[in-house]
Amino acid sequence: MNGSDSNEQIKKENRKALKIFIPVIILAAMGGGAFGWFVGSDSWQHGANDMGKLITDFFFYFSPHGVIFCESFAFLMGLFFYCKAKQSFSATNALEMTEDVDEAEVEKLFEMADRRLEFSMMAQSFGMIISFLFFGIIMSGLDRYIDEGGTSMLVATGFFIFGSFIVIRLNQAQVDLVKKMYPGKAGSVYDFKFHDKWEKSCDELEKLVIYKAGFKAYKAGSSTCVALWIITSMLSLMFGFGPIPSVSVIIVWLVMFISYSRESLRSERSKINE
Amino acid sequence: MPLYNRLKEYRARINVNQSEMGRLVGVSRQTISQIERGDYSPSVTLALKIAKVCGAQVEEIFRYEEQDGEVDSHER
Repeated sequence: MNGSDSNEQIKKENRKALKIFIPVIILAAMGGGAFGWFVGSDSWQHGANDMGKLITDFFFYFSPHGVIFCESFAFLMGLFFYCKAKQSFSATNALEMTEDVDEAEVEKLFEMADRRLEFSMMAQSFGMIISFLFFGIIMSGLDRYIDEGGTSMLVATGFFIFGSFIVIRLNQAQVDLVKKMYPGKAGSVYDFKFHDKWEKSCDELEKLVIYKAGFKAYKAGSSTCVALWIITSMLSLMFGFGPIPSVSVIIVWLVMFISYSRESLRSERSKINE
Repeated sequence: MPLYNRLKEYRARINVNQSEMGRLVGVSRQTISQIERGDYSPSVTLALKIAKVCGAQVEEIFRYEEQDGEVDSHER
C-alpha cells in the first residue's frame, strides 16, 4: 500500500466514524445545556436541598452498617474461596503422587484451584474497596456522629481497623498459596516493592496477561474518569459542594495518563523483553 | 496464527510432567499447559529452550501453517 492509498484509507475511516461522533456530541451539548438551565431554576434549588438532605441522611445511617457488612464480606468470602482453592491444590499434589497420573485430571484440579484463588482475591478486594468508601463517608460526617453519641461510628471504625489487619493476613496466605502453586514467584505482601518483585518473577505468559489486563483497566479507567468528571461537575452545580470531587477525578485521570505515556515511551527505548 | 506443536508427545518421550517441564525451561506449569493446548504461542527464546530440553529441533516440535489469504513473504 503506497502513501496516497494509506492517506485515503485514513480519511475514509475518519469520515465513517464522524458520522456517529458528530451527532453524539451535538446531542450531549443539547442535553448538557438543558440540564444546566433546569438546575439553575428556582424550583430545582428547593428540590435539590431536600434531595441532598435525604441522600446525606441515608448514607449517615447506612455507612456504619456498610463498613461492617463489607469487611465481613471481604473476610468471609475471601476465606471461603481460599480454603476451597487450598483443597483443590492439595488434591492435585495427592494425585501427582499416585502411579499412572492422569494429567488431564491434575490440570482440571489445578485450574479449579487457580480460579478459586482468583475469586478469593477478587471478593476480598471488592469488599475492602467498598468498605473504604463507606468509611470515607463516615469520616466526612464525623461531627454529626459525635453529636449523636458516636457508638455506631466507633463500632464501624473498630471493624474497619481490625478487618483491615485480618484481610492483610488473609492476603498473605493467598500469596503464599500462589507461590506454592507457582514456584519461582517472588515478593512478600508486606514488602512495599511487592508489585515490582512479583512482576519480575512472572514468566512471559503471566506478564502478557498482566499487561493485557492493565490495558483494559486503563481503558475502563479513562472512560470512567470522563463520566465521573461530568457527573461530579453537574452534581456540584446541583448541590453546591465545591470543586474537590471533580479535581480528585482529574488527578486520578492525569496519574493514569502520565503513567501510561511514560511507560510507553520508556518501552520504546529499552529492552522490552526484560 | 495457527502454531501447531507436539510438545506433549516430546514431553512424554523424556518422561517429565508439566510442572517439571516448566521448571526446566523457566516458566510455570500453566504456561506449558497453554502451549500444549495451542492457546499460547511461545516466544522464540522459550521455543528454543523447550527444543533444547526435549533434545529436538524447534521445527520438529512447533509447526506454523498458513491460513487461506495469508501471503508467504517469498510471494510478496
